[in-house]
Amino acid sequence: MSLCFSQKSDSMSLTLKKVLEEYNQLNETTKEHYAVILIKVMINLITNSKEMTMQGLTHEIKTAGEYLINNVKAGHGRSELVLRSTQTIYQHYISKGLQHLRADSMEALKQSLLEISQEQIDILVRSKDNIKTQCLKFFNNRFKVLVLGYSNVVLYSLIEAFKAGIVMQIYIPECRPKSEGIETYRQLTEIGYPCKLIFDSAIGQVMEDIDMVLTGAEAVVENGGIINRVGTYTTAICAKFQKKPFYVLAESFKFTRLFPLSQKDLSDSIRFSQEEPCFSEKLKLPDNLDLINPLCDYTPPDLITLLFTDLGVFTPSAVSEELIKIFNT
Amino acid sequence: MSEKPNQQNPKKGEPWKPKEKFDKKANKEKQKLEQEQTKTEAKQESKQEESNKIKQESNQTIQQQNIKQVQQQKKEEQPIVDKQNIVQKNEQKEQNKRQDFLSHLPIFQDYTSESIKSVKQIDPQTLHHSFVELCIQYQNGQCIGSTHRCVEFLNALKQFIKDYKLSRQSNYFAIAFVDELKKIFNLMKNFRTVNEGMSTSYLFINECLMILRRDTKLDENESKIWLCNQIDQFIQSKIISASELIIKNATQLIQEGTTILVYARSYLIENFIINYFKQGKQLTIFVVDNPQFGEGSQLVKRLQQQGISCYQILLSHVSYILSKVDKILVGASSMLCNGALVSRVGTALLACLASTHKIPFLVFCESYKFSEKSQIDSLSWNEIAQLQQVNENQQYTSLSLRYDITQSNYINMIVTEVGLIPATSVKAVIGEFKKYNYVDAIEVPRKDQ
Repeated sequence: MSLCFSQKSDSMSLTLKKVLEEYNQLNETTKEHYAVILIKVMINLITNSKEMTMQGLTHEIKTAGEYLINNVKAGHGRSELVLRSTQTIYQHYISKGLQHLRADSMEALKQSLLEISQEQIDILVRSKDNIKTQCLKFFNNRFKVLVLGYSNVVLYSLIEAFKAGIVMQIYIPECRPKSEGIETYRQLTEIGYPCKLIFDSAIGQVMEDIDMVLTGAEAVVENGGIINRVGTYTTAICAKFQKKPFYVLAESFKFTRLFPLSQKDLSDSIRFSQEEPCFSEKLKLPDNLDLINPLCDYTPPDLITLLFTDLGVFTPSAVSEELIKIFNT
Repeated sequence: MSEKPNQQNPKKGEPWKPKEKFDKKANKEKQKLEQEQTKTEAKQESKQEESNKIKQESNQTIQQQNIKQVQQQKKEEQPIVDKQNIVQKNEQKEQNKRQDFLSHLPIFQDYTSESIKSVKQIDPQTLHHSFVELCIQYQNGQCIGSTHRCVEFLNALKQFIKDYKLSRQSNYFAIAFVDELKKIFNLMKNFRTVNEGMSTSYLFINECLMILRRDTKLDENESKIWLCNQIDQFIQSKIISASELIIKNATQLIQEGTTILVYARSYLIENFIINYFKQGKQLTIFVVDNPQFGEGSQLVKRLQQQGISCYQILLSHVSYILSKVDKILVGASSMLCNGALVSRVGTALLACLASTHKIPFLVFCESYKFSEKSQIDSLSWNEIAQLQQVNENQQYTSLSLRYDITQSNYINMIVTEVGLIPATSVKAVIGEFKKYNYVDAIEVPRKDQ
């Protein structure tokens, strides 16, 4: 009996390793979205799985997902949250699909699970375009826009707007400690966008000239607030004080069932990053530097004007209704 | 919610259950006393009633005065049982009150087991004794708290269903009982305001009766048993397991060592704290008391019985302690569609303070108390707790209401059994539940064979 168990756990750890390798490989070779890669890995897992029961299969999917979340970096130094929310929603659709399915054999079951997964990928791919179309209505020529951090959706929407002939003046904060602003700046100037890089500490000074603030999100929480790269909260407060609109672009797979009420409610791995921040060599840093380096912060819903998602343009309070719809049906 | 001093504290060490039926013996003795006293006055009363019937429609107050007169006579002989009985009874003042800005709010009289039968909606012959008992409990403060009131109402209804006999004219139990249920529900409005939980359960039972009428061919006895089972299921799933789930959710939510502030006494919060300490975790607790109803001191007493220490402060002193508090927890009478909270008076004040100090304000509420109404101010619907004029020379009227409305922007989170939700998604939750007939899909009963 015990032998049987150990064999099973061995094969499990093998599959886990394989899944991780596959994810990393896809992440390096293709330029696809991390959520799409996650589901593609899951598809491979389902097709190659030797599990003979439905329960075994769902268990395998679940453990593999958890393993990936804990061991994988989602690119651009994002936190685990982005993968977790995708995994949760994917898991939900799988179990929902299983409830309604009446497959005769294991093969047929696998086939229908693959169909569900493929459908998910289609939704993910389409969501970017949906958000872009929603956004374009809000963009105007000669707007001054502050773009925060590095976000796929924001970049895509801005580039599409540029192609459609809308040219806006863009201000990009540097976004210390990881300086993703520079990456955004590089990609936008490549296509000829007029951009200005500013230091993080200058956000308050620039804010009164700005027409709107655009940002992505790592996760959208249940009350409509967002969790995003540190600095978002500060900017949101600035924008609120100057009464500037603060828009968030987020796909619906970023909706999570978290409900933080303050910064303290975020998990420790998000609040305290272990990574060494890079300082300029000219600075003479004292030894034994005691540094607090949070990865993300929580922006409460009252600071957010609108959320652009692939399901539509929402006020923050509408997010929880969508979440209830997703998870209760 | 619960306002008046509670005469029966739940037993020590027990997990929360809807309170067991109150001491029946005491009530029966009381009833006997009342009956003896009313016998002598019965003739007089009936005469008055006859003469009043003509005037009833034009002026309901006169009848109420009559009842009061009868009661007042009784009270002279009887020791005063309850604080609430001191409500003044002068007819002139009664009329004065009805002209002010609270004139649209109902004033609830003190009824006795005899005088209940003089309420105009009911036929004294058919009124079931379980409702008479229930009404007296509502009146004298033995049955307080919205959850407790709802459970007792359902229990009384079950008793009534068991004893209900179909009249000869009607053939179907379901058809006849719909009217009966409506009558009873209207009757309940005479004693305390009907709370949201009771309305939801009423809607649920109506739904059950619809199913009985439409889909099944059960005979009378079988229908009764089925309906009682459905009510049991409602109590079990919507009230008992819901409260357990809420306590579980809250325990995950609130970290060890947090300083919490609770207002007055709510069953959910009381049980949450006790449960939390049973798990060996510690909290610093401030209990805010409203001296008028004194519920806070009841909670402190109850916590002390469990060996949990806490600080007690008055509502007026909250502002200076608030900077030390991490979270504020309150119970609810109901949650309205626009995200507003209806709770015991003082909650809105606390919520305003919390929002100024940026302290998270959490509401504990089972989802069966969610309501489709929406309301902006506290005055358009409320319940008058006490309205006293001590003597005629007095130039002012002291008044107090039972409930108040807290707007949704002051509420950070609602802890329900369906999860943690913001105040704005009450509407979405109601929508989800309507799909499932308030509980789950109701199983359609089929007759065997």
